[in-house]
Amino acid sequence: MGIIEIENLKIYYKTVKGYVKAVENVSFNIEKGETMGLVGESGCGKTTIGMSIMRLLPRNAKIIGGKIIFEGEDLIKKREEEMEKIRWKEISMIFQAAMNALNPVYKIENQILEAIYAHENISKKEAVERVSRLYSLVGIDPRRAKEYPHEYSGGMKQRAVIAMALACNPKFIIADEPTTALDVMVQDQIISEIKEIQKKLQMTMMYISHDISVIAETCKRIGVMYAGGIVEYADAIPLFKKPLHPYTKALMNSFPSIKGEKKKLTPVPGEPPNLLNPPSGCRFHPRCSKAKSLCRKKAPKFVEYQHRHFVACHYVG
Amino acid sequence: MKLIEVTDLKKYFPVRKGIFSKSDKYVHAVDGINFSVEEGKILGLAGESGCGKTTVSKLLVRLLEPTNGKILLEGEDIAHKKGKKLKEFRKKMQMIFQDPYGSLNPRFTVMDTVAEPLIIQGIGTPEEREDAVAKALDIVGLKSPEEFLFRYPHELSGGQRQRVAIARALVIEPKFVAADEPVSMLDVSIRLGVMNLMLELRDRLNLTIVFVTHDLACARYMSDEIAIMYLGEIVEIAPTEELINNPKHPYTKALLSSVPIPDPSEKRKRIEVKGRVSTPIDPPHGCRFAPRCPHVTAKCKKKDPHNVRVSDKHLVACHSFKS
Ligand SMILES: Nc1ncnc2c1ncn2[C@@H]1O[C@H](COP(=O)(O)OP(=O)(O)OP(=O)(O)O)[C@@H](O)[C@H]1O
Ligand SMILES: Nc1ncnc2c1ncn2[C@@H]1O[C@H](COP(=O)(O)OP(=O)(O)OP(=O)(O)O)[C@@H](O)[C@H]1O
Ligand SMILES: [Mg+2]
Ligand SMILES: [Mg+2]
Repeated sequence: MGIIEIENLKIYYKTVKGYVKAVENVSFNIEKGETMGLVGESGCGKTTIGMSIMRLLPRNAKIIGGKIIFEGEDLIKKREEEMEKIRWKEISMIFQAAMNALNPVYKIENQILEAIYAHENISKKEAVERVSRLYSLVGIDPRRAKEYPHEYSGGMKQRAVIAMALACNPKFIIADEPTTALDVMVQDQIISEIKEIQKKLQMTMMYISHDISVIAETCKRIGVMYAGGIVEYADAIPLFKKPLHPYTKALMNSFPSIKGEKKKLTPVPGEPPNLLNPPSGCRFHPRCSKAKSLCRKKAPKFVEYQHRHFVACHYVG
Repeated sequence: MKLIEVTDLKKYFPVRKGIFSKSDKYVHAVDGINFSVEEGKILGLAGESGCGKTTVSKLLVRLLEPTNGKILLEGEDIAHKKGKKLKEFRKKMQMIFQDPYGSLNPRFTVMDTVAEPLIIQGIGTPEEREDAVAKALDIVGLKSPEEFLFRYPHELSGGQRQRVAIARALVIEPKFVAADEPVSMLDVSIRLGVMNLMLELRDRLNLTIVFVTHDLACARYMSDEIAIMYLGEIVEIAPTEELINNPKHPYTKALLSSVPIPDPSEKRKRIEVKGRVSTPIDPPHGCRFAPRCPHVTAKCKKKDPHNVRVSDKHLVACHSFKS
């Protein structure tokens, strides 16, 4: 049993042009202490899944069906007051581009303290000590906590945002592109710190990124998303050794690397689909070289093809 | 043949104190760099944010005038050319900008955007220009140009916008293109398509390209040679595979060691360096990487390192390297 179990999750956004079918029948488990990576191209629904677990979806989003079971209870059924006790305290999230969301008029320390006071009844002294510990944990000198966001570099702001997400010792943390837009060396430092913290605090994590190299380095288990669905879910090493879904194969072939032979890479042909009017059957079929008529007609089931290796494709292998 | 060659290229920006007063301090954005690119080759220019990559690109196509140094385009120095003489050279060189969202005028149709360099140069009749635009769009893979000609930027996807920006750069058939992070803002699914397009155009049109990127994996994929910049200086330059497999400068080594590898069974050895990139405002003597270098010695802080030859085409600027 996982700490988080998602079953047949389906989320649509209502727009003037119709429904954006952003998440379609997504199911996966994350075991306690595990880091799960969610990877896929822009617009495939990664953030939508993260936000639904936090129950922070925008107003025009509608959960059409499915379950989000956290420690045995369905979060979708919870009232907002109940969610307020869980959000940030039990489940926390580092938002995409969050470093730009720090409030520029408050000292960073005060912003973190506020997050702590909102959930815990502790003395100022204890809270300030915790901020100081969090700062050391994410690799910033605690003396700099009293500064304003503009006095920080991009990498430091991102670390502060991570510290804030950790403020109430959550059991489960969702990191949405926590290092995108940072320089490689800074990205690398932050990734290795996140990994260490995760180990030290025994946290469960969902790591969202479009960059398959970053996911390969941080996650033990990986879900590959395409156009609102998870097409493959497996442990990192077997997934990279023997990807089963044609999209996973194509995605892995579109990232240059500094290791190994230099070879010509070929991008996934065609354009990403429009989720207002997604392709029938398997959503990947218009771009798939293996597609047959069945793929156009029927959506493939998401099945455990090998032990712990799930895939949604009519013609696996 | 060397298509472009720069020697001791410098660009200093005055540091502003207030709106009207300039201080006597300068940012040494580009501080004495040397390199050349053979015709039909691609040089990758890589380094962290603020190291001067964009400034170099703008200097190369003379959107900026250098503070010092030479820029030889087909043997002729264009470093300080002005007015009509400079306009002559603009036909031979173009720049592609980082941001496909910001670099296209939102009120221009694709036709207007791509035709603009022709109009500025006074090339062709309106009909000839339309043909040239259609041809350029076709070259960048926007087949059936009539479908795109009268669209506005907001009616295009990110990949299509960057293709339009490339078409605009190619429409006057330049010999040289400075591409400033042309794929950084693009989603992975279209990034590779744009890179392959540039490689193909190089082959077909014998274009010479300086390809700016902060992503070393992309630099490797695109380039024949790679130059690594740090705070306004080139610290190492070498043929691509030589630089990737046999780096000599401590900064190049650290940078390479922090690139994530798309293979979970690969264990990477990280080289940790302290601190972060600063701004080169009137930098003191000595190696600019010295404050962060794991191998720093007293000499590094006093004396600027000169280029040392590792092999024929591999140069490194580091005191600790002895050839
Ligand atoms: N508030 C909204 N209203 C309507 N459509 C939306 C809304 N938010 C997201 N979408 C659409 O839902 C789909 C999934 O979006 P989501 O933000 O989850 O993607 P993502 O995988 O996180 O992408 P990225 O990598 O670009 O962050 C996209 O097609 C997007 O355009
Ligand atoms: N017009 C200007 N006036 C003053 N300083 C400038 C100007 N343009 C650039 N600089 C400074 O010159 C240095 C180099 O900037 P440049 O934009 O060339 O870097 P870059 O390598 O392209 O960075 P990035 O990866 O962030 O795009 C920086 O310190 C920058 O702040
Ligand atoms: Mg997102
Ligand atoms: Mg730049």
